Amino acid sequence: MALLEITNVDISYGKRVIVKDCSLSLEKGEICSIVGESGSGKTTVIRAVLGLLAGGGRVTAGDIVYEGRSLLTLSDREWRELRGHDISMIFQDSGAMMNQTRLIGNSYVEYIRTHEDVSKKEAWAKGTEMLGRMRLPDPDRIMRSYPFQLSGGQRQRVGIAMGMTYQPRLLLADEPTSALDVTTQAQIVRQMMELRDEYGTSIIIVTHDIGVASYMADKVVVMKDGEIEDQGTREHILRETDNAYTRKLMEAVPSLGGKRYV
Amino acid sequence: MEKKSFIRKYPGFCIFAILGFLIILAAVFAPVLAGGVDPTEGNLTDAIMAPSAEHPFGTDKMGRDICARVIYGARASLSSTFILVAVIFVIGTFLGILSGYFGGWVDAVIMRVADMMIAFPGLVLAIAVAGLLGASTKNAIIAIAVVSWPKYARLARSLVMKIRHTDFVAAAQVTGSKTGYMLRKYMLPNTITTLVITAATDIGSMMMELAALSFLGFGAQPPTPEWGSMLNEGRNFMQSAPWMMIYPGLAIFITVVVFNMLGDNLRDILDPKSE
Amino acid sequence: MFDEKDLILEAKHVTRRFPAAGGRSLVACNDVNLKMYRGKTLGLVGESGCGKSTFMRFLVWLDTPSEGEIWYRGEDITKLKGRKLWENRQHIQMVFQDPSTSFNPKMRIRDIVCEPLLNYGRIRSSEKDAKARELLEMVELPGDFAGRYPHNMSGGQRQRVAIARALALEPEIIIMDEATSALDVSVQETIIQLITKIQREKNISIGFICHNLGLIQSFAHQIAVMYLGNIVEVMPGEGMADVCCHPYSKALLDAVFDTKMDFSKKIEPIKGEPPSPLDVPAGCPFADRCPHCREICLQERPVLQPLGPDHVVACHRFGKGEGA
Repeated sequence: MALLEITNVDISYGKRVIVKDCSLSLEKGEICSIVGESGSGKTTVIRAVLGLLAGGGRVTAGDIVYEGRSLLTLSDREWRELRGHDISMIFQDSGAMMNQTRLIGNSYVEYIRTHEDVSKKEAWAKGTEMLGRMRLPDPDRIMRSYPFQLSGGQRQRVGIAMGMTYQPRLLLADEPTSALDVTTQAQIVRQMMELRDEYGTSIIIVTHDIGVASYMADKVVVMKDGEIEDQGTREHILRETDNAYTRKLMEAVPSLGGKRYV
Repeated sequence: MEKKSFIRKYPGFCIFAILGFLIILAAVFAPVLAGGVDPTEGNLTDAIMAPSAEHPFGTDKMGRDICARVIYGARASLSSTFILVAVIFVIGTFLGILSGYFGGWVDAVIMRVADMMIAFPGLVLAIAVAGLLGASTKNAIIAIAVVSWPKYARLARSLVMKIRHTDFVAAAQVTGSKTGYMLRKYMLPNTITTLVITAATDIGSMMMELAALSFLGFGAQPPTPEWGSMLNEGRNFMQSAPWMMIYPGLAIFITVVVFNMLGDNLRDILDPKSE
Repeated sequence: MFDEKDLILEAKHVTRRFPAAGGRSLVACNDVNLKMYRGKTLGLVGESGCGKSTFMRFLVWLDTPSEGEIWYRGEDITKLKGRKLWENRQHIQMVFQDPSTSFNPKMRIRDIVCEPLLNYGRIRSSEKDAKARELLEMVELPGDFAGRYPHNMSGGQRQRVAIARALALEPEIIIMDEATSALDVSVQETIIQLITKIQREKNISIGFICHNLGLIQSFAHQIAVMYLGNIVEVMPGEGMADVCCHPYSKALLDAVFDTKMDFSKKIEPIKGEPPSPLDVPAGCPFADRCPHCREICLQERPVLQPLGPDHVVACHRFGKGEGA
């Protein structure tokens, strides 16, 4: 049984159908990249999986099934149990998701204590340990810092650490490296690959950066104007596909030693 | 926009615009409205008479018809208020734009002067200035203007600063726009809407300030009919001849409310995003 | 590849310091030396905060360096003022990064692209329409876009308008500050094609700021890499990956993800974070993150030394008399 099955999903805002007939399946330990240009609907899809569609958005057709359970009919309580434990999400700017006026440690402790019944001290220790496991240098100092005292890359890694605290089976990443410098992006990409290697986490990463998507993915989904234009293994999408749009998109990505215009 | 749909969309504005216009008309056509009665002429034998058929609002202590004085008073009150608001608007906007655009010592100087003006309780400073220069409508306008321009300057300055360092302003400089052009075509249009709305909503409060100064004897001088000074004149007779204060007071009240509402509704048209 | 007689702009020892709290200063640019050649593209690459935008803004007089000179048309442009400055603006123009904020929202396209020409009295108001069409045609946009407002156009179309505006005064040099970063990848390609075509036709020099080596190497003739306000390497655009040798440049190269890379290659990101620009250590700015750091790297700041044709690098491992 696949870990996650998205079947013929339509997502609408009111009467407007934003995403049409989206189907995707993810196995355990697989990394899938959803790529597309602006307006392709890729972010909408990933948010729908976690039930995080912005005001008025609804899945109006099809089903999203996680480990045999439909995610479209979960109660609030069931979602609370699922999010963080089974499915986690990291965003483009994890720093902005945190309360800027609280120490990272306190935010982290609060996060842990909503998921399990432990004392503040235990939660703090767990948070520090998790930051260390994510290879953040000087986890103590980070726990005692405010978000604005960290760099963008560090904040993003704290976000990943928090998301991975309970070793979720599925990690959803919405443009996790778009706001970062290229060298930091490389660090984050490596970190995410290690999550799959060490914890067997399945990942769906949404990104407009086709290079990153190609590197990370076992499977690539190409979206255009709210529909899936093409999907398949990385090999297929990069080299074998006949789809004109996909080919055009891949050709447009600048590559080292590739096409020169001068 | 068609006339009919404008009225339907902005009924508030239309109502108060008409009312405001009527008040202005009353001021302009005062002689007609007052039926030829001279507001400055009074017969002492008719002093302090209660409202009657002949004198609908009664008479004051000099025997002058209060109704005529209230109507003619609109002239003094409205004209001085409009002049005051215009003066503050022009000075405040001008200095604010310069302050926001040039920054540096220009900004520092203008803002420190503005801070000094704000630090004073407005009316006290206005009284001091009026006291120094002598009591008259003109000096009352000057006195209040001196204290009130900082609000516009600060507003203009912050609006200018919001766009001062944007790419499109930088682009205009890079493409050879000169300073005067930048101020006229970029800075001013960005501030004008908000400032016009502020001015419109300020008409009411500026009228109150002028009335207050007149009430204290620092504004319009007798025998000029002016609502504030009429309140002053009626102060001693508050118990015995309340009509001497009631009618000018009502006039101020109605006019201030009308122009306040007009300003509010104007904001809804020009700047519908704001609350 | 570069003929010295084609040298049109040279920056020498340009430094920019900003005073900061506690008596410290933030060094945004440190002893920057760069050259631009006629009709060629100089790519300036670096990550956020490296000073590349700060430097390029000197060239369009949006800022002045604390020290150093920039020679153009026989004058040090950092010392120009008043009318001379205004006249020189015609020769160096700029395209900004974000097409959604680089236009006055209250102006129509026609007025936006003709504004430079009216500023310099090159056309009359009556000629605006015709001239706007001409400029739009140059950037492959239909003439009737002239009556539109910027917010009624896509990001790519707006960036074309920005290029049209930059071309209006027929400048010798155009600076592009991450001009394609906010665009989709397919749109980016068409913009790069447009830029290189215009460069060929009009022999314009371009200074292109970019954070992505993969992109810049496809159309730059020379590439300068900047780190913490310092130029660490300048190398030819063609075959850059082969000659690139500064450890930071190599790290940037390693961080490039593209569709033709070797996917089995494990990423080795450079460790640590860049030091704060308020507290740049003595010696080589990259010392604390460099895998080849030696004693001398901590003490002496390396200067740019020639290594090959059109290739200079600031590293103690290279340059005259140094072994590996």
